[in-house]
Order: sequence, then structure tokens, then C-alpha cells
Amino acid sequence: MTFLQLHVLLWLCGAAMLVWIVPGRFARWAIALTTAAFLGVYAPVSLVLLLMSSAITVALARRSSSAAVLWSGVSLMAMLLAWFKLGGLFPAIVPRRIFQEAVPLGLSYYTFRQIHYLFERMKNRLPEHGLLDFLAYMFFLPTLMVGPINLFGDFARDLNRRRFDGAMLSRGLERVLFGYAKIVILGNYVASFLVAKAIFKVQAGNPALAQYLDCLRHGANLYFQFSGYCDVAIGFAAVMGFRIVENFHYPFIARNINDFWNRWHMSLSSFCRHYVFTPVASAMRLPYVAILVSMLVLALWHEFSLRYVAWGVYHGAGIALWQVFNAHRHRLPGPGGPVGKALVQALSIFVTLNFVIVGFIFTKEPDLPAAGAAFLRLLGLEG
Amino acid sequence: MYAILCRIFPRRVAVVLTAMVWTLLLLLIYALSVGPEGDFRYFRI
Repeated sequence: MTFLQLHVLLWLCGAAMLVWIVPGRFARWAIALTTAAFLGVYAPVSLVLLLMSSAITVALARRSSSAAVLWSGVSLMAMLLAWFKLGGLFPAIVPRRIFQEAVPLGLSYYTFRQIHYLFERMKNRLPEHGLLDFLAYMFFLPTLMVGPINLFGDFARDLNRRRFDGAMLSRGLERVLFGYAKIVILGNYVASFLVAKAIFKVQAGNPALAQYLDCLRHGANLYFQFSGYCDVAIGFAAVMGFRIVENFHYPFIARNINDFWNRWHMSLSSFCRHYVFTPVASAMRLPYVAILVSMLVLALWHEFSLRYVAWGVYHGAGIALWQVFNAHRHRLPGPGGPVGKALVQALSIFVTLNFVIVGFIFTKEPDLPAAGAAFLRLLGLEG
Repeated sequence: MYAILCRIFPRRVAVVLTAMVWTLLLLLIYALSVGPEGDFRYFRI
């Protein structure tokens, strides 16, 4: 289920109107009940899981501040997510039928929000709030399906301060429009149809070039689609009076792979930095292992499969290499004047862009052997 | 756009006009991309 479906758009419009029509003291109820009704109609399994996991999260967070209890909650949420995603890696354990039919809508996002909430509770960083604030956060329709993984502190602040603002409404609607334009025109039409057709013509004459262009096309399409969905989510949230964290910031002009992950799917990479990298690095004192573990979690969050394991290792190795290079960079001669600096910057962007788009082979191809064959084609080693 | 409309019309009228313009543009994208299932999908010019 996506924002492209008309009934989802209509539900979002309804939720946005309802939250302003009801008196302010009922806004939390309006947010939570509209989403519950939406899930009840279209994804009842997800509704049950969201209710159960939210009840467990809030019970653990309210009853105890003990790290052991809260860690058990974090593990439980991680296991819940892993169970439903495992079908991709071990279809014999989790039958394909169950995997396909019962992966609950928005599970990846709401389990990570619950983990974030438990971690913040552990660190005593949650603002003063009531049960309804938490329920409104968990049942917030715009970000339920495709993120971003918004933070509880920001959400609770907006929940208490929100006032109708014409300028914010206009910005929100504009963002929704840009989001749909990105998905439908730039993603579905230009990248997936026009460019794909042009690449197909190159295929016979020069398979290596066609493979490279297809990686570029795939990366651009991913960006248009995913950032478009985020624009729609952020836009509808703004219409409802909430400022949601940005998820993309011109990722293809990143100067290094570290910078890329500060610009691409920012809410997820920030989550992994705070709740995976920092605990692992402080427990093990091995930063490179922590980088690898973080990138594996980030990759497996997308899909439990070997191709995503390979993608995570590829990016983890890339970040580790960048860190090593960065630590020794001062020994290299400087770029010289402004022209030298500009050239070094352009080269950095070019190298990072190519590293990223070549890595998209793992996510573009259906499995690891196909990705291997695509790598060979890219190198001109296979017809 | 809201800021421009606010200079011409009262604030409340500007809000309604802004919402109308963005909604009409969204309907235009929908009209150009509606597929057999009735969803946004197959944008073609």
C-alpha cells in the first residue's frame, strides 16, 4: 500500500481536515483513531501488532527505568521486525505465503520508533508527556507507511504548540504536490520509462555502458520515488501542523561516503548512528566493527536477504576505508589554490557518486548471483 | 505562493485560494497519470 493509491490520499486528506475540525483537546484522539480506523480497514494485522507492541513499549517505559528491562523491550521489537522480515532469507522457516501476505504495513517504521522511544527513556531524555501523546506519535498516519522515522521529542513539542498557520499549510500542500510530481513524473515516467527505453537501445551495442547507465537510472529512480514519498509524508504532516525531520538532502552531491549517509535516508542513518554505532563502539572499542554492524543493520532493515547483506558490507567497507583515508589525509600535499580545491571537490563528488551507484547493483538485481553477473557486465567481462 | 496571495487578498481568502491551486495541480497530475486501478501510476504525455 502506497501514497499512489487514491484511497490512501483521501484518508490522508480526511485525517488532515479532522485534526483541525475537532477541538484541540481531542486532536490526539483524532490522530490516533483515524489511523486505527485506516489500519482496521486495510491492514488489520498491522493494527493488532501496532497496538500490542505499543502497549508493551509504554508498559516497559512507564514501569521501569532499568536498562535491563528496557533493553529487553528493544530486543523484543527487533525480534518482531526480524521475524516478519526473515521470510526473505529463510523461506523454509517462515513460509513464503506468510511472508508475503502478513508483513504488516509500516512495521519497519513503527518498531524503530518504539526502539527510539525505549532508548530515550533509558537515557531519561523523553519530555513530559501522557499516554495519548505516545499513542498519537505511534499512530501518526502521514509517517506510518514510508517514514521518515520522526523523533518523539519533536513530535510531542509540535503536539503541544501547534496552531493553524496558513503559511505552513501552503508549504505542506506544495510539498505534497512536489512529492507526487517526483514520484509520478520524474520517477515513473522519466526514469522508469523514457530513460529505461533509451538504455535498452544502447544494450545491444555496448552492454557495459548500458549497465552503468542502468545503475545511474536505478539510483535516480530510487531517489525520486523515496524522496517523493517522504515529501508527501512531510507535506501532510505540515498540513496537520507538525514539522517532520527531513530524509534527503541532495545525496548525489556528497563529497564522501560518510557525507552521503548524512544526506540519504537521514532519519534511518541517524537512528543507526545513535542506537547501533554508538552502543557497539562504546561496548567493543572497535569503531570499524561498529561501522560494519551499523551498516548491516541499516541494510537488513530494508530487506533480510543476502544481496542486502552484501550491500551493507559494501557500504560499511566504504565508510571504514574513508575513515582510514581521512585519518592519514593530512600527510598528503594540499590541493593548492581555489582551482585545485574546486577540482578536488569535483573529483570527490564524482568518486562518491560512482561508488554509490555501482553499489546499487546489489539492490537492483533480484539476487546475489544476478548482482555478480551485473558486476561482470559492468566491467565488460560478460556479453 | 501563500505569501503572494496574502498581499492581494485577506489572509483567510489566501489560505483557501492556496489550497485550491495546489489541489487543482494535484488533480492535474492525477488526471495525467490515472491507471486502470484508479491510482496515480502511468504518467504519460
